Order: sequence, then C-alpha cells, then structure tokens
Amino acid sequence: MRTTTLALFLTTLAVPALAADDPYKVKLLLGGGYQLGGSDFDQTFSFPQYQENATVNAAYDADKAPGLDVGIQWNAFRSIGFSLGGTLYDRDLTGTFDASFPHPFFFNQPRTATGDVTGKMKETAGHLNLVFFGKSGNLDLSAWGGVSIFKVQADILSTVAYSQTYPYDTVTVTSAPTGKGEDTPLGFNVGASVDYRFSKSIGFGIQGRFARAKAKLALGENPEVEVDAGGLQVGGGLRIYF
Amino acid sequence: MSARSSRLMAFLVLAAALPALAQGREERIATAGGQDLVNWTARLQQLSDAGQIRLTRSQDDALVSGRRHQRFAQLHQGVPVFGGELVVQNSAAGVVSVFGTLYEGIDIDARATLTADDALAAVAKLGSKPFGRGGRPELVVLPLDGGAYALTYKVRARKANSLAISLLFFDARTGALVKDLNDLKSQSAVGSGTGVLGDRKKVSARSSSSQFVADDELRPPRIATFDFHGDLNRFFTVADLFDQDLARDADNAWTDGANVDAHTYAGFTYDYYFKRFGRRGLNNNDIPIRSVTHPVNRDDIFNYSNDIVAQFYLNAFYLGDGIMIYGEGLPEGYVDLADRSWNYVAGALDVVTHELTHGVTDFTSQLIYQGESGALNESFSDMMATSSEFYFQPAGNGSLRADYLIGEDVITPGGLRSMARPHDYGDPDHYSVRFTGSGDNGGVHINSGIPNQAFFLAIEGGTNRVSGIHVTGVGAANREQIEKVFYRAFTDLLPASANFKTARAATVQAARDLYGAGGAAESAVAQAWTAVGVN
Repeated sequence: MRTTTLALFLTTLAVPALAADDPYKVKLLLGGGYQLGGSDFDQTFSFPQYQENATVNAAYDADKAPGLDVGIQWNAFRSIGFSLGGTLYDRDLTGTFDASFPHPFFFNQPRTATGDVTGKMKETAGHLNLVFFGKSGNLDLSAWGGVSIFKVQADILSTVAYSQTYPYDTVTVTSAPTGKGEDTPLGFNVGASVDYRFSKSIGFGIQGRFARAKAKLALGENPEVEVDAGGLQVGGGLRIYF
Repeated sequence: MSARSSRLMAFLVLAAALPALAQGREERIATAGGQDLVNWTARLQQLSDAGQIRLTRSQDDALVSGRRHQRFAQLHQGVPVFGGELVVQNSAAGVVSVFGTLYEGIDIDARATLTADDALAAVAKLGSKPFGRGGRPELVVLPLDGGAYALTYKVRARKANSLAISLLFFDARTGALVKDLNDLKSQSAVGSGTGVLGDRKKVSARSSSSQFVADDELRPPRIATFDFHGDLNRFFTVADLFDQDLARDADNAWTDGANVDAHTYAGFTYDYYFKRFGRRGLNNNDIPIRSVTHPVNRDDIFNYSNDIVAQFYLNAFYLGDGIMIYGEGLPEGYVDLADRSWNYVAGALDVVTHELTHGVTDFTSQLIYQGESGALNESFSDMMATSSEFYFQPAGNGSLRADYLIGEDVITPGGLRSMARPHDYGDPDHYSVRFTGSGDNGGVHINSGIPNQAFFLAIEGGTNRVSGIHVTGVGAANREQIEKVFYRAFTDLLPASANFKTARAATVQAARDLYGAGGAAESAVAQAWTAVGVN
C-alpha cells in the first residue's frame, strides 16, 4: 500500500494531475509537528579580569520537541500554488559549561569551575513556498520548497558569577544567569504532505519538512553563538478547503 | 471569501508572523530644554498614573530659588527596578530637566516565592552578614546583561573577616546568587607592575581619587606600601604612616620596581604563612603589614653618614608593629666593601619574607636578639625566607629562582649568606667553629649559619663539611615537613632565651608531634643537628 501511494505521489509530482472533481483554491493547514533530532551548539566568551581574561565555554543541546505547524495554500495555477506557513517550536535547552577565572594575585594560575545551564530555545519560522500539488482519489498530494525566515531565541549564558574567599585558589559558581540570545536569519525549507479529504471542505493530512537556517545569537557584548535552526519536522493536522 | 474565512486568514497570518517579543532595553534620558520637556510633563504623569514610577524624594533647590528636585524610582508591578530612576528638576514654569534611566520590556512576574528571611539565610550561607541600612532584604527587579531581568532580593552585606562590602542579589524564586556587586566605595583593583628585576606581576591595589594606591584590600589584613620619595626627614618626623604617603600610580600599571616588589612580596609572605601553616599574618590575627620604600634617594648617598647608608641603603629592617623599611641599594656602578652591587632591597622575595618573619618571631618566641637565641632568630627568618622562595619560585640558580642563598636577587653576586654552604660566606657551619666574639650582637647573623645548615641538611641531605657526618634528608619533595617542624618549634615551643641545644630538642619534638616518633622527619632533623655539632 505504501509503495502504491508513493508511486502515485511521485507520478503526481512528475506530471501534474488533471483538474479534480472538487477543485479548491485555498487550503488551510492547522496542526502540530514534532521536531526530530536535537541541536547542538557551543558558546565561548571571555571578559577581562585581574589583568587577564576569564573564559567561559558552554555546550548546549536543544531537545526534540512538539510544536505548532500552520499554513495557508493558494492554488494559483493548475498544479502550482503558493503557501505561507508558520511553525513554532519551543525546545528545552540543557548544557554544561566550564569556566576559567584568573587568579587575583598571580598570572597564569587560573581557577576553573564547571556547571550546568538550562533554558529554552524557541524557533519561530515563517515559510513562503512554491507548491506542486496533485490529487489521487481522496488524497491530495503536495510538495514544496521555499524560503524561510526564522526567529531564534535561546537562553544562553550572559556571564558566570562566582564567589571566592582568600586565598582565592578556588572559586564556587554561585549563578550562571542566562539571557535571550536571538537572531532572525533567512533559510530554506522543503517538504511534502499527503492529505485525505473526508468531504469537500475538510480533510486530514500529514507532512514532513526539512528547514534550515544559520542563526547567530547575539547577547550583550559576548561573541555571537552560531546555531543551526530548524531540522527535520514531521506532523499533521486538520485541512480546510475553500 | 466569507467573513469566517477572513477571520481564519487573519489568525493564520498572525500565527505565522514572527513574534516581536518584548526585549529588555534601557532608555537613558538626558533632557534639558526644548520641546521634549513639554512631553515629559505629560509622560511623567502617565508613568505615575500607570504605577511605573514613584516619587521617592522631593526637595527645594538650595542654590537656585524657585527650583525643586524630585527623584522617581522606576517600578515594575510595584517592585523597584534597580538602577531605574528619574531625577526631575522643576520650576514654576514646569519641568526644567530630566535625567535618568528607564528599563523597558520587563516581562517578569514580580511575585516572589521566597521571603526576606530566605534571602537572609542565603546571605549567611555565603559567610556574609547584612550590613547597615541596606542590610534589610529589598525585593527589586535586577536588569541583567543581555537585556533580561530577574526578580531578586537585594541585600547589602559584609563578607566575613573582610572589609569587603557587596550588594548581593538573590533570585527571589530560587535563592541563587545572581549578582555580587562590590559596594565598598573605595574599589579594590588588581593592576600589574614591573618588579625590580623586570618581572611582571599583579599588584593588589585600591582605586582612590582617580589614582591607584598600594593598599591591598583582597587579603585579610591591610597590606599597604608607603613611598617616602627619598624624604628621610619626613620619615623621621611623621608620627605614623598616613594614606597620603601611600605609593601610588596613575593607571595601575606600576613601574616603580621597589614599590611593586615591596607590596607584592609582602602579600606573598602573608600567603606563604597562611597556606603552609594556616597562620594569619605576623601576629596570627591579621595585624596590618606596612612597608616603607624609598626612605632615601640613591643619588643622595654621598650626603649621608655611614650609619644612614648602612641603615637605609644597604639594609632592610623590621621596625616593629608590622612595619618594614626597605633600603634603596647603591647607585649603579657602585659596590660595597665586599665588592657587591646592591639593587633595591625590596626586590628579593627572600629578603621581604626574612624581615617579616622577624615580626612573626616578635609575636611568638620573642627570641632574644643576642648570642645563640639571636642567631636562632636570624636563622628562623632565613629558613622561612628560603621556604617562601621554594613555595613561589621554581628551584634553580639565578634571579627569581628558589635556592638556599639569602638576598642573591638584589645583592650580587651571591647575596648575603648561604644555608647550603655557610663557610663560603665566612659563616660557621658547625658548632665547633662558631663565632664567640661580641660583634654582631654575639654573632646573630654569623652563627645563624649553624642552624641554617641543619635546616638545609634536614631537607636536602648531604654531608657537613666539618664533621663529615652524612644526613639523609626528607628530600625536596617533602620539604613541607621540615618547614612545618621548624615553624612549629620556633613559634610554639621555643622560649625567648633558647640556645642551639634547645632548638634541637624543640625541633625533634615538633617532628615527633607532626610526623610520629622515629619517622623520617625526626630522623632527618636529629641527624642534621648532630652533623652541625649540636647534640
């Protein structure tokens, strides 16, 4: 069955289908998705202290997460249309850091410390796509590709605070405050969906999308943090046809 | 498209649109004159009506009649925003000027889950105590780096055993310390400096009136260095050491080697005693350590008597009460009677530790500075001097290397004494050849060679030149054992009138106390004393 469906779908892509019995001009997609795969990124920053530089290296891991996936598709031509979509994924972010703080009395005798950092990484994206669509019975088949604009916000370290007491040979991390590092990079997305129409105006569909953008998160005066936004997303939801 | 479809479309477009989240931002306001002031009158009213600012102080202008000054604190959900304030100058005609900072985009919930008592507990956990008026925890919104905000309790606190006063900000939900802001109005500042020998080191200083002064606020006691700029008369006439004489530098990049080394090496000596023995300074109660540099000018040497030259050029001495005086050395190209050049005396770590150890002796055994007890007094200073070198410097020959020579970094060639080979410097290395004359207070420096040699042999091992007795030392890797043995004996066990024989018994006892009877330390110490003829 899966093979047959796939064959039909590919055929549809290669040769746009004839006009359907119940053609529609506009399709709304209301659903959810799941971002597969984690996203790892690193952060390094330093700041002057005691005539040397303190350095902090952090490694983050954004978990897989469910999200919102909505859109609207306008079938402008016989088998070609346009779509505007939006996705929102709010992912848990965990990480660890190691820091090196200069000694107040001696050069080249840094004190080191490690710790954990937690927060959120929120990816909101808008997708403008060219859509190829077709039909096979009650199945609507679509494939698309286009540009995406992301807004990426992640809780990344703004500094690492520590306490120290004489003779200052060790430090104790007291807090690792985070701030929202953010960027709005341009990227791309490609994907495909299969919808089943229950009636003239209602259906249900599943889709898969791969979206990607390189975000450079800025926070204060710290160096930008490069993050791969997006990834493979699968989902499904309600389809409303007009 | 139907009306329902239009609403759906609007929803989808909104859902797909990128959210413009409120981002923390500070608005710095400096408005004096112009149309903006008219707007400010209305804006102040708006902010006040919205509960975003609150009048905290209002007073008439004492200098310009008819003017009034008002201070408004910024609020978020009724909670003050740290640093958010407007200062408004009014006249009968309206607002004259507005200066201040307002923070925007604050999106946190201002309800604390922790209480003020929880904040006080967090202060105590850090080993600090609430201090003064600001010691009562106050709930504030704290702007963080990067535009975020945190709901915190602000507490002004003093750290234990320290003058350091901080504004501590604890997260009002988790109790974690979010920020530690030094609130001592004189700010400690770590600078860098170049020592007498051209080595670069950190200088723990304090900023004061746009300058930096050699006043260490990071170590538990006050460690300060006073530069008399060659004004010996002033040094003789001042009743005490005052801050106006503190060594100072404009940019905290110190270039006067004598000041740099006197100051940093005093700190190193404190560190050595603390880290090795847990001792808190000369009196074990953090008595201030004050160093005096440049009591004379090198160029004035020919204007002074031999006594002054001996005291303030070719010498360093412990004056008492934690005060050290460092000699100026000789002008370049000049040598002493032993054909030695003298650099600024403060430039040698062992010299600084040696003299400060006289302070330790003053507060402990008070070994009488005469005869054998005096030689023990001098020797103990040499032992600690060499030990601090080995603690901070790599072992080896040459300047800034740890060895068993005394003063070799600034008195060249060779320094003043050798603990490994006292005989090479004309000092006895065996009791049978001790100095028995009356000079040098009965040979306090000269005969220090005998216990010095015992200390050396107990660590490094070797054979005494006179007795030919071989000693198995504990080895350089275990030098800490012998340092602790002699420290314990000389600070806790010896009486003021101790002689060499007493020192032997006390150090053997100390070795037993610390490392067990019959152990390697006791054996090394006993052998060493035997080797130098003290039984």
